[in-house]
Amino acid sequence: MLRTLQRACLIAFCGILVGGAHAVLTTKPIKLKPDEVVTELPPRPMPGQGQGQGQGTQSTGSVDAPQVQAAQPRVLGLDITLDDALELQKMGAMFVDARDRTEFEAGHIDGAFWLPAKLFYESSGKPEALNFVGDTNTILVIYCGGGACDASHNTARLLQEVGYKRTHVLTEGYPAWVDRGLATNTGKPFYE
Amino acid sequence: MPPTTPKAVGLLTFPCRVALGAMFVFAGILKLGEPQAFADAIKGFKIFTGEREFMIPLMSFVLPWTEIIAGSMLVLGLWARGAAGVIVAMLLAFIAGVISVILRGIDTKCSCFGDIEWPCTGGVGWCQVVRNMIMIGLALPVFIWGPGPLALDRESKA
Repeated sequence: MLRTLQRACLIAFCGILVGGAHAVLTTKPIKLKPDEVVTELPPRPMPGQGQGQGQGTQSTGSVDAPQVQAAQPRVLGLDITLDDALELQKMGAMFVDARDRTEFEAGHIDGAFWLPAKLFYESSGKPEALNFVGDTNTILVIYCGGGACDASHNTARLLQEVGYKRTHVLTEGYPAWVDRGLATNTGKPFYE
Repeated sequence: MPPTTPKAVGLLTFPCRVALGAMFVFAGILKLGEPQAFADAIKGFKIFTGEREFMIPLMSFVLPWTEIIAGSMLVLGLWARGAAGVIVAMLLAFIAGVISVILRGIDTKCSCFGDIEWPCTGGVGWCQVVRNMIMIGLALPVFIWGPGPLALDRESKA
């Protein structure tokens, strides 16, 4: 029994040694997060000046300030709120769904592209859907199921790797979109 | 009833050893094919968070290599009991991870066999727990009775 235990430890040690060496020597290091993104939004209208789009909700991922500084342009980071996403949509941003196919077909943001991380791996980084997304300057808002899901950050990172640097993640995810009663669709992606 | 003759032991342990070993080699190769995808899967389990996040890139290579090494040794029947022990330990750790994900209500992918979702489809759930327990069931006879016939080891004793 002691010999079996010693051998088991040696096998595990070999795995750690070879795996550790591979992790150090690999030419494609593992990346855990997408790069930070900065997108500037026009300033919100002063109180009583405009219609008050997106009132009442401050951006989590943005560094915008309350109404006293409303005249300054606002800067969005990687993670954005639903209100920020709606403003980006007005600026021409496209939505990208990073969830499973079944979840996408059951319901998605109207006009969204279906781009889960696995499509990038299956197509060596260039999923066919990217042909319909537009050039690499397009602002992309990626979402998944909200809450603890990581899929949107994974897709954001992969999109950045193929050149789409203006990628934002809608942290509240699809449930927030549905709760707000915004336009959704079901079935296959519109370009299939 | 446990097998009592060397022939009966061989009939039980040989297929278990080869099937399980091949499965682990296959799983390890698939993971090493896309280490980034496997790292995303590990991250999705939310076990290595905050200061422990540095473990994820390391685990993305260490786990598949350990699977390949232990699996190959099981197929070859070389240090088969030790290899089976390593595989049982890994499977127990995987079961603990999966149960922790289920209990925390996290919706994530297993990526246990890369993109292949068989026999468990969809996110991490009880199916993976049952599958891993079945694999432990394949490893235990080898761990207890040794590799059986056609092994490089000479330690098989009923």
